[in-house]
Amino acid sequence: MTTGAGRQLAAQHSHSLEGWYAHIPGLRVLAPATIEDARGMLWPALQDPDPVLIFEHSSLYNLTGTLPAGAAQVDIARAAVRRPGTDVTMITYGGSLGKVLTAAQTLAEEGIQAEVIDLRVLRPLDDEIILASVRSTHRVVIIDEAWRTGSLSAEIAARIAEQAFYDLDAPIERVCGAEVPTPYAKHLEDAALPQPADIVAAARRAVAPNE
Amino acid sequence: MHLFDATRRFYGGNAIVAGGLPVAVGLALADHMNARPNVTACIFGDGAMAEGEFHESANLAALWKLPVLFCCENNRYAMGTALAREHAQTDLATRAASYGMIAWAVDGMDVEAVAEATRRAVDEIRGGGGPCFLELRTYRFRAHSMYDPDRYREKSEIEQWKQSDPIPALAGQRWRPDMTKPTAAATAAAPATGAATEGLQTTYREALREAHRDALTRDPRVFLMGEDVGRYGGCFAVSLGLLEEFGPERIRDAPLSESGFTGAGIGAALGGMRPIVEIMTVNFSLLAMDQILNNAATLLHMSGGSCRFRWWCG
Repeated sequence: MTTGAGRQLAAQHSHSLEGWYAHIPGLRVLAPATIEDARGMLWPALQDPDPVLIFEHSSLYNLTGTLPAGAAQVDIARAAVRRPGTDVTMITYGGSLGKVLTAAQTLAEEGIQAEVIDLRVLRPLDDEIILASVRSTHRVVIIDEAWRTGSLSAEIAARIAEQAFYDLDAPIERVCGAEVPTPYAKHLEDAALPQPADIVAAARRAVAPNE
Repeated sequence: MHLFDATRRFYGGNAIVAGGLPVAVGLALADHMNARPNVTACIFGDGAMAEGEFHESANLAALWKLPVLFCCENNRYAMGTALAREHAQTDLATRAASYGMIAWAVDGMDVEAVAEATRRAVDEIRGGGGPCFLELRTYRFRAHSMYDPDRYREKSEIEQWKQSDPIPALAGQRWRPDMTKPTAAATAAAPATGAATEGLQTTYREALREAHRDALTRDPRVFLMGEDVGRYGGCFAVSLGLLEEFGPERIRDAPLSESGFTGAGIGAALGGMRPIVEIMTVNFSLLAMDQILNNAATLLHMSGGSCRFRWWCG
């Protein structure tokens, strides 16, 4: 099903509620953010013994790219590192992945190497890839278009705090959707959603928390 | 409530009133799509007829002429709420008939009358005319539950209904259990293997469409069901062209009834199909939250492990 904001569809057609479904035991929840995942997640989902929900961010349908040969099937268990880096871990999924990669490019130009993790699977979460990256970079920014309170970003932050607290060199940063009904006006909608500049600023804070 | 035996096609009770009705529609849909001669009976109370899921299910079953027997045990109280306080039209068979299905009111205190009406209804359904509805007019002698102080009705009313208690009435008669006959279940076709080779410039939308086409081609049990997936081509044009390729049985336009068709997808999965249920947007999925949370996510547990099914909701 379609999820997410960014197309001026206002307060009743712009939610990111996939985190609600990720709350429910018995479901597998997927969020393809790339063309390869859009092509390859359906068949393994149909083979999965549990019910599977797939969330397509509405901003992605026109995404253009090359589908690699043999991409008819992908795993539906693991997160993926979309950009390797050493200075800060940026965790996201779905429609925010492009914004995060844009932010990572800006940060690279400043000399900050961000590692970008695409969750792909929102339930069950792939703790292993998240924690390995955090233990390597010691800094975390979580980017989630959904509202902050009681969210998937909160769950990820809690898991990192539970399992890798002593590996952290800075407080966990979160960039989330503003806690308002999503506005219709373009400039207000843009302001209510995570944007590359917000992500860059959060990464800078994580890398240099005392500045 | 928690009895369950999928091997005997008994799919249990449901603590969410009317929550089992869309699942029954889906089981019947699976039988219909596989040309199996089964009838799915779902039994519920007068309270369930005030729920939206009843109306979504009745419409779906009648629209698609599915083999469902709706059995409403009208015992005149939805927990403690009397029939006249829960329904504007208390003739429940009349309401069901408005969906274009055969609907009969039956003396639910007469076992032979119930058996005869059920037999006739099943014959009608097997004749291919679509679902039937039986309003079995009956009464509950005891309280709704162990916590029910039963303060909402007169004791004299209970005593009056006890005069037509069906068990003593039946005791002097000879019972003929000649209603049910076992039916052979058809086996679903094994999935064909297929591999697509790509290395091409494409879009996210086209990649999704290709994933659908691939799954529909590889496995005859796969079908797509949802709002505007067929003639419209999908709200986001993901399924554009699939109707022409795979036909209206497998690219199934559904009415605007998210709970109904999501539950039907769950039921069809229980019936051996591999449904892809398309919900247009996440906002609309809230109308199907009951089916996703209370049925899809819990059936494995609620069925004691006997209902392991595959279902995809995209």
